[in-house]
Amino acid sequence: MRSLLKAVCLLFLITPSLLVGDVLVDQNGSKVEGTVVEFDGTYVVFKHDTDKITYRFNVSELSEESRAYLINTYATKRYDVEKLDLPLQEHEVRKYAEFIDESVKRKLKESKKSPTRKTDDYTFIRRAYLTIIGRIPSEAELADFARTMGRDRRELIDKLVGSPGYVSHNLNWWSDLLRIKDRLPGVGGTAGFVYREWVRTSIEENKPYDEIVRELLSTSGYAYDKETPQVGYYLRDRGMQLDNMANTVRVFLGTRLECAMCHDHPFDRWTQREFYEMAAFTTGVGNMTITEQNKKVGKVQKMIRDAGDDRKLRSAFNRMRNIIRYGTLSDGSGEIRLPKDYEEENGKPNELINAKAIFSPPIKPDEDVKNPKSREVFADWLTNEVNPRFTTVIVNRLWQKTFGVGLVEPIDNMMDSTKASNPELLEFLEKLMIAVDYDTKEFLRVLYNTDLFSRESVDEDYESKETFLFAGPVLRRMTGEQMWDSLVTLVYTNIDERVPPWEILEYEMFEEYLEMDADELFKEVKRVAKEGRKAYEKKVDKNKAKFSRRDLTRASMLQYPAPGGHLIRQFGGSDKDQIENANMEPNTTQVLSLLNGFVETNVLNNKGADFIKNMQSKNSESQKIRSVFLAILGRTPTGRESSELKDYLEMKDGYKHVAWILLNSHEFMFIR
Amino acid sequence: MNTLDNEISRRGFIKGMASSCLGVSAIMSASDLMGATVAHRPATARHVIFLYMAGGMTHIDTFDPKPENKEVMGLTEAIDTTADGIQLGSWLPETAKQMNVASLVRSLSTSQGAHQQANYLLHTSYQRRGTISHPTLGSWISRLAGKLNPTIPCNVRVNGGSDVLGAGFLESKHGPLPLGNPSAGIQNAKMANYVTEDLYMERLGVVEKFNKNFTDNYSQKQVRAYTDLYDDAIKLMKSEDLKAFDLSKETPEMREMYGDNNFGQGCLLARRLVENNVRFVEVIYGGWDMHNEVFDNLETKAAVLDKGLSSLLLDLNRRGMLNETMVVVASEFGRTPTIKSGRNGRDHHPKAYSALLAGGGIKEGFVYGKSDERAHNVASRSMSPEDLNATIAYAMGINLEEVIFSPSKRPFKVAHDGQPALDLLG
Repeated sequence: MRSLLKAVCLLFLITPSLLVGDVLVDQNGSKVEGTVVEFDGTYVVFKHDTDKITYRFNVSELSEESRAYLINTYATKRYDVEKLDLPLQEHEVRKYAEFIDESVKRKLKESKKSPTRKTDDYTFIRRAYLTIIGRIPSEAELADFARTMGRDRRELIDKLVGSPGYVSHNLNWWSDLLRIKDRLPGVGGTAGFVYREWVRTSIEENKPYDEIVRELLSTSGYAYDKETPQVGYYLRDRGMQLDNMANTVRVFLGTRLECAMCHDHPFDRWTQREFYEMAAFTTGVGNMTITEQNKKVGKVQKMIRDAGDDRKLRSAFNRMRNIIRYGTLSDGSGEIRLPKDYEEENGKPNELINAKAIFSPPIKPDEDVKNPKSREVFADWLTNEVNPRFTTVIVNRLWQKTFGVGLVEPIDNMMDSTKASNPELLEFLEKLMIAVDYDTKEFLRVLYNTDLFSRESVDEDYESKETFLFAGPVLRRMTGEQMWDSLVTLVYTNIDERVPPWEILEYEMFEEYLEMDADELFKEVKRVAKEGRKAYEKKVDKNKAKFSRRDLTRASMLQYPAPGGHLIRQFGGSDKDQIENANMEPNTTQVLSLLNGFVETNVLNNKGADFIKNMQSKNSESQKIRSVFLAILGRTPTGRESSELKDYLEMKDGYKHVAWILLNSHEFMFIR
Repeated sequence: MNTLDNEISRRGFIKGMASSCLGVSAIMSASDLMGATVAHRPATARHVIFLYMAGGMTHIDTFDPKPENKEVMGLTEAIDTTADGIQLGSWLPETAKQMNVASLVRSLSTSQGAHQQANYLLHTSYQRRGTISHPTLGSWISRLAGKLNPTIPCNVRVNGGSDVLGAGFLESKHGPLPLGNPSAGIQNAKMANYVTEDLYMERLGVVEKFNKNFTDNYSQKQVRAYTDLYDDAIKLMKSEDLKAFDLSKETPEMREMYGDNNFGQGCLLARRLVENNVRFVEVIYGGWDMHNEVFDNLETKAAVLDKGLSSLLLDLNRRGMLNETMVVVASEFGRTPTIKSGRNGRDHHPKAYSALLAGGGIKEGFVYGKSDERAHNVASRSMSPEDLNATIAYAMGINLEEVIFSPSKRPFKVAHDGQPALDLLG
């Protein structure tokens, strides 16, 4: 019976759809078939199949699903909002934050729920530090809040979004999204590192989100060229054009197309042909090596073979080859062939088809132009305000990043039928994002200034993410990176100034190597093979200040991804193999690290650790306990807690006992 | 309710029917109609060693060669094994010698052709959804079969990346203990030397007191998880069986036999853990995603599998442990019979692929199901990943019909609607 049912289903799947054109359903459920001629966001012009008459009507007459379908497919205009002057004035931030709070409260009231209480200052500061810059505050930073900021939460938020910690924390977030590894799979050298640093700089410069995405998608050039390391976006998926497109659509449009790679999507409306039409935009990036350089490199390779194929020569050669060959000079041809085993009815195997976008605004690169620059066309389409999902996705991701759950869940599996838990709020946030012109920092500043961000987190398990109403933020365990950055903060309170000197030799040699012809390159290969590392040293910044404990810096300064077994990975940090691959699974190895591992060897047993020196500078026992509490839990102890710990402080290695107890308490690893 | 939603979609009504058929509801009600559920029975397997070939292991070149069809075989040949009538790909000569104790499934099939989704289905028996996270088979076994050794974890995962599938909606203590490097074993299990055991426990007492406030305020699963895990960690630290994790207790010859690599050592560790009554050990071996140069890659990749797997089967058999221990080699999907020109690769192929099972009640030298002459489609006795998990759980004596409710009060079963392949079991 069961297998019969399955067989029947499969039959249906491969039966070609008989329906063409558009089917719209009104609010009473009646259905009309025909063709959408025009849709401007409010009015739709529709040619009815039965009577061939063209009608014009307001979309508000249609069912929600039909409205979504129209917006997703035909809209040429979406939100008409004026751009705001940036940075936002204080009163503007307050006004928008209030709107958000009102909307959240209305939703709560509908369900007869009330918001949580406002947090005390200590809880707020700790949350703000961990959420905005990814680490706990130091004792001095806590004191600063009262001393120089007059306990003004707004001022603290401004300070944090303007600090280097903001860049570090957001780089981790971006890298999880983009799966950035220093060493990209199937790519020699460390092109991924150069790409990561480009993202870091973009965050530092507060480059607008749409601009970052546009550059990622449309840039052509060499991977090691200082102007174009963004081509790392395509290099990351070298040789996998289809997977790259599926990733792009998932990351930036919150839509899953990967099923449609091999057959029509079983749960959404996308066809395999539509998938290929999308992929066609990026045709031309090929295998991400540059033909001209490959030729040159081929000649050098032959010279090396003729010279006896020496091992040293070969390894010097490989290094050089990596520097100059990666990248793409194609802007996109906008064509692709359907696969040889194409089985759907709407195309022939191996048929050459043109690029076409799946959503509105409807666009197509010009087919008769010699260089259609289809990647640019694609990037403009994807980042267009009219694109129905581009703005929604980033707004939703930032909301989730701030409060723990998205307004749309799951965050990257949107369909026509997807509904936000609070549609009014989502729409407002989208407008806000457009009004600040995709300045994500300004957008976040508004979110951080809401009452919601200042309230206590929800104390109970929520039933489902889809129905979460935001009585308060979600209680969250620290991520792997937050845990790491926080523990290192105990050792180095100046953690954000700890920038180890980089040595990207390839980066420095790129221009010279590019200019050389094969003979000159061969000469250079011989030089490098002979001199070894020294061959590059003239290019390295001599100003290599002694930098101790390179391993104890921000997670964003360490190798990407952190190696397996590293504390970051124990606590679920991403291996960057898949999009947002970090996990929050609790496991015993985490606990062992806190009980006996990293905490003992690098924090408690480290006499130079700042929090220990700081504590030792205090005079009385209660002052010392207070100091440890502030450093680790970001609050002062209660009288009972203090007296509980006094006996331990008197013992040999007393402070170790006290700190160990606090580091192993649940309060440390959770962000209230 | 869904038909109306789907009707308005561009591909219309027919597609709508199809997707609601593919969804769980229709299939579940079908089996309800039948009323035919397999009764559970006493366990033939007490332990499972699940060797997961991450990335999509090519089935043609390993467990389902087609010597008659050179076009799909490429550089791979079929070799005879110690099991009558069963051939393997030529990359697995040592496994071929152990084939008389193992069986193959050559009719696995799934609709999931992307890694994450297919991996999820293989491990949990459910489709990946944004709204709920499902427990892995090992977590189900921890929950339903329980610990045999109270002091060490019941469910261990060796090697593998950060795409951790775990306890899902079950309490986190059922999730796997992850070990990144089998040779390093379990790290940080020793307390610092400046503290005595008494003092250590006393300090923990203070931690518990401090936690009380927190756990009272936040009565949440993720918080309780850590209360449980601290208990587990302390038990583990004190356990006599901690040495189970220590591969240095094995002879150099034994370690060399399994292969000097994380997979081989992972298999050896799995054997040690099973000896110490761990229920479920998964050893992950990645790198099977051979879109390019499949034969070059197989040369090294399959050699490591061959050495580790054959040694494990041999070793378990010699120790008489194969009676109670089921070894499973499985992947999220297979790879295309067509060898893609220009890059000599095989792409994802979920329509037909294979697995190997041995021990714990599995027949010896048996082949379940068949693929067609190109190993492209299933020719007979199609088996889903859910069915595979049902077979394993059934052999462990787990009642496949037992329903566990998620915190959101939704009903779930160990192998979803999978049916055990009774023919595979002796």
